[in-house]
Amino acid sequence: MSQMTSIQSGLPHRGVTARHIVAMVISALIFGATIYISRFVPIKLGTVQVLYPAAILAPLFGVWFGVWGSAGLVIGNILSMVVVGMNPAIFPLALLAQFIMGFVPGIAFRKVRFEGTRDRIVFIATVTLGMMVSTVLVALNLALIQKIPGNVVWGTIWPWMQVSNTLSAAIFSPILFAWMSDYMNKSGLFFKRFLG
Amino acid sequence: MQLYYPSNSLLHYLHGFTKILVFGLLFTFIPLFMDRLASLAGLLLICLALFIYIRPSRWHWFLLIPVLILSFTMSLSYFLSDAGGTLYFQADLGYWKVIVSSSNIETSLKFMCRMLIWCLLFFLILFTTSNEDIVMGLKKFGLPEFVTLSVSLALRYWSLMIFDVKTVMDAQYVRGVDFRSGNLYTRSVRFASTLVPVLFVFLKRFRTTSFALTLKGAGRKNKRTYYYNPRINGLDKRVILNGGLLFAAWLVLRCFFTL
Repeated sequence: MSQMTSIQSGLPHRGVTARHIVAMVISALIFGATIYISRFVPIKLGTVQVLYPAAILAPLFGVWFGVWGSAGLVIGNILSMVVVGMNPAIFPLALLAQFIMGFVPGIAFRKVRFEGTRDRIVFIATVTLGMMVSTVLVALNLALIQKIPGNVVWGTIWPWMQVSNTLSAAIFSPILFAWMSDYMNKSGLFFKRFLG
Repeated sequence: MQLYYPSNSLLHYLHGFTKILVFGLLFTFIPLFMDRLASLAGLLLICLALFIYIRPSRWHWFLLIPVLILSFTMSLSYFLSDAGGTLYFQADLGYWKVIVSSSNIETSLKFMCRMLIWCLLFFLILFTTSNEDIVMGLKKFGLPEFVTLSVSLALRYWSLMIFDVKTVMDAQYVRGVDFRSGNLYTRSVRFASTLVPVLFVFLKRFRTTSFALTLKGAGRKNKRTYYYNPRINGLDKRVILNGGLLFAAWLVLRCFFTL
């Protein structure tokens, strides 16, 4: 019996399954749609959006779907670019930043035990650090590929991203997490392990 | 999302892989390393000629409007730094200084040209390639199947998602939620009433998708669920060769001239 294959025994086989793909697609669609809607706010700092509500959702997908949700964020960002004709090939570091925005909270949520206030502070600090690293990557993309002057990138755009990305995620992501996690658990989509 | 339209241009007959490689990657690098406005403007005209060649419909031409607005608003950031040249206007806004000089205008125009070239190149791919062919093209690059399948599903569900949101909004409208009057805040609050139903519609749809994918054998090796598999033909090989030669010629020219 122990030599039975996963298909014979009816047990789910290891590797990528429909569940993982669906998690990626859900993250991609919701994240992509949020970026797409806010893309048309007519104030830009380089290629960076002044309002970026998608940053609030990014940590949630990392927490709910682990690495698959983080990969979905990259696909979602590509999708939102494709729809308006922007070429994703010129935003490699910005795409990596989207992945980190989900990856760091996802891994932190599974490593921290949440037994006391200190654990919660460690979790929030890790998520904030992850958001800051991702904004650095976006700024580097602007400076190196879009060739926006360094003083504009590091003096205006990067500090603003701490408000539009880091601060807004720090305030609104926990609220959304508390509100929506119940729905995710009931739907059976929550991933207990980071790798699914 | 259906940007593709069938036509008889040469680009419509090419494999998705060829178009992604030539227009999405090789030609994308050319404007990145171009520093002269005249060269960028010339390349923009070539891209525009190619765009006209694929005969887009009026609706497809309208898609250039958001691209123009986006590239213009993005290019305004260059006026926050001093690039030198003849000064036309300067405003001190405390922390920021808005400087309009000849060099700033040139840098800003260069950025706009680059963005427009990239967008046109990308539209060449999207308008002439069906979603299925884009996925087949990505597969040829050796991307794992779960990635191409996710991209394919995301492209398919994009339009379905818009449809779902409209359905829920109509249902809420029948119940008395008015999305067409009130100020921005009131409308936003009313719009929020659609979020939870939309989420449930999505989750229901994705549960069905999950079952369908499982039945289709997603993630299993040696399954035979793909019957559409276009081959790279002679035309593709010639286009890839010519694209590669053009790219190499540009690299050589760049060594001798400032482009």
